[in-house]
Amino acid sequence: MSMCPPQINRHVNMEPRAKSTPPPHGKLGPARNMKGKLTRWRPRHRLRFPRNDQSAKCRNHDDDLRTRPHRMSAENLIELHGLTKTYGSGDAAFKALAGIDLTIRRSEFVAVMGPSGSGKSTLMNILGCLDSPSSGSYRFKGIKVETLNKDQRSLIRRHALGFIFQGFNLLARTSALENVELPLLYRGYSRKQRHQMAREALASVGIADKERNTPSELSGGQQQRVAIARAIVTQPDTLFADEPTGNLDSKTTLEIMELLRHLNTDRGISIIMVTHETDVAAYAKRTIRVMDGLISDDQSSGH
Amino acid sequence: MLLYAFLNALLIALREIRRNLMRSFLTVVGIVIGVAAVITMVTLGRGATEAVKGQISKMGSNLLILRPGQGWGGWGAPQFTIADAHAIRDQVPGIASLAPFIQTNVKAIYQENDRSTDIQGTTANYFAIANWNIGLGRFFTEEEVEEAAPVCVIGETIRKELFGEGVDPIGSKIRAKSMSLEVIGVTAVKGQGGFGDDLDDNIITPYITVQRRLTGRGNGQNINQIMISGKDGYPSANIVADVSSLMRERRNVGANEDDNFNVFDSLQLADVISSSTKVMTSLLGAVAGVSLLVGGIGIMNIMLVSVTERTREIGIRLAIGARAREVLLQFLVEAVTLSCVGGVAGIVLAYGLCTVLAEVVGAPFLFDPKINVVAFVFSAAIGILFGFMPARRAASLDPIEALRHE
Repeated sequence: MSMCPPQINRHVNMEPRAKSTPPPHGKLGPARNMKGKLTRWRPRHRLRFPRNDQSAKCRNHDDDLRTRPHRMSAENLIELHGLTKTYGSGDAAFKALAGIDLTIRRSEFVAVMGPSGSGKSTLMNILGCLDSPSSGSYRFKGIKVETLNKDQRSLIRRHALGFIFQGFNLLARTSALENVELPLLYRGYSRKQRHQMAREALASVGIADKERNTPSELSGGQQQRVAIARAIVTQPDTLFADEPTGNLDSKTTLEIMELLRHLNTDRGISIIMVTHETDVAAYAKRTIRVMDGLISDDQSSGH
Repeated sequence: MLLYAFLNALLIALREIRRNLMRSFLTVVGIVIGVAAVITMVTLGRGATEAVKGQISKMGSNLLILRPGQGWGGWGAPQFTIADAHAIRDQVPGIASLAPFIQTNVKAIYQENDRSTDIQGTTANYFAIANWNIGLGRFFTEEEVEEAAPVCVIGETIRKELFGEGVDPIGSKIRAKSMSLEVIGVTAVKGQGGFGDDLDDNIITPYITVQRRLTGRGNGQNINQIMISGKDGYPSANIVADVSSLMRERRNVGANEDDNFNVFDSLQLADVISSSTKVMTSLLGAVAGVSLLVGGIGIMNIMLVSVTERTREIGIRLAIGARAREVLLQFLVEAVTLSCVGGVAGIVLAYGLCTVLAEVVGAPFLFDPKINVVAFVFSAAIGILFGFMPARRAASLDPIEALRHE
């Protein structure tokens, strides 16, 4: 196991910092006074992620059943069991997902297809930890995502996920370099480290010379490259792409898809991509079709 | 850890301010104008109040003036005598000093220059009572009053008109009617009085001299006024009451008749005038407060208008892993930074305005820390509130919704 799974740790602590050694187990609980009342607010448990996967040692959490990594999770990145999502309640209730079982392994390139209203966006949002399911279980690298609160899901996104959107969603009037730096700002890197990492990311998507340009000075393809650089600058293990080529012409689509394929094959980043177009989906090694909140088809092609 | 989170928020907030220079500038301008208006208005108002107080104290602080008749005219009512003055001095408690005062209009002549002016006959302690300082030469003495010496102390205006500016008039003789007076001193400049009159346009001379040589009656009759200065801290109302009852008795005023004299109390006047200028100041302050409020609404507008763009920004930040509280801290720091910059700039601007306007209005420039703090805190509160509230709403959205926001 080359990668250390992120763990929920109910005892410790805070944001991962490069040199902090976590205190021994069970020493630090929520601060309590003599009467046992909480003296300051603390979430019930906090997520703990090793910063760069190589730099931190894996620790065992056998004493904590709820956070013990699932035995099967070593290979499986994502495991869904009976996942549902219902919007509204009573008569107005709408079941967007009607019980999805799905397993995605590490380093897969999955395309999710389906007509609009099929629930694929809902599925993506839940997979991307942007939303929480109504019922069922979702294990991401062994973490029970359905039990996490908003902030904890934020931390998963921060440390393990990258996002690419159809509309790019770059900050306006902000240089490409600063856009790419944005996720690093929330991870406590020094200015020098941020610059270096952002430049490397921009170089790896082939627009090293555009770091001073703002989004309005870039073409759609270049903007999407900046967005991809922003998504991969934190070295996530999973990339979520929501119709990444929806706003691009066919030539640029080709380039962006080649880039994504390289990220998948060369770096082993898992990619989960929503798309309408069959030829875009063809870049993926596996295509999942969603219909009426259920998976109707699941094909692996022999790329 | 907390410090780290704060520094990080500061870094992000400063980037956002730089990214949106125009919006940041407009926000700051709203606060600057509000703060500057309030501070300028109130500071100038206070300056005006002090100016009026200063003019009244030029007359002599703690000064009471006994005059015949009611109100300002006093025509027809009998004048006072020197014996009245002595009776007040001997019988009324709380009096520090007292001087009889005769005033009549003359044409003063020196060589080919002349000027119609007031000649004031009084005693030596008048100078202290009425707050005169000597500019040149000396005041006359009590002996010179007793001797009815032909000496006089002139005001700056008289020196200018009769001798020319900067000329030393000491020892020269000026003529007023049939009388020749030797100039022994020039009073220090007092400038304008509380009623716009020139306080330096007069000639002061012993009252006996005036009575003997000008009005022709040297028997201590026909004293126009009696100037009384109360002891410090002694209530002037008591002196007014005591002087009134004494004078009613001496002037044989019947029990049912009105006083045929009046006592003017400069302290009371000062109170009345300064309370009216205080009303003025509060009025100006209220007007300025409205402008502060309008500035606040401007800030609110800018913040609310930018909320669409900012909602997307918040969505992006949340999607890439920022927690709601980190986004909120960023917005809070942003709002605080802008408000504080605006507040400080407003105070600086107010000081510039105050120094210039104080010069123009002729009021002294008085620093009032209280109003600075109030204006600053109020504007900062508006800035923070309206910068922060929309952000709080946006940060509580789901990242998906925030991203979808058009």
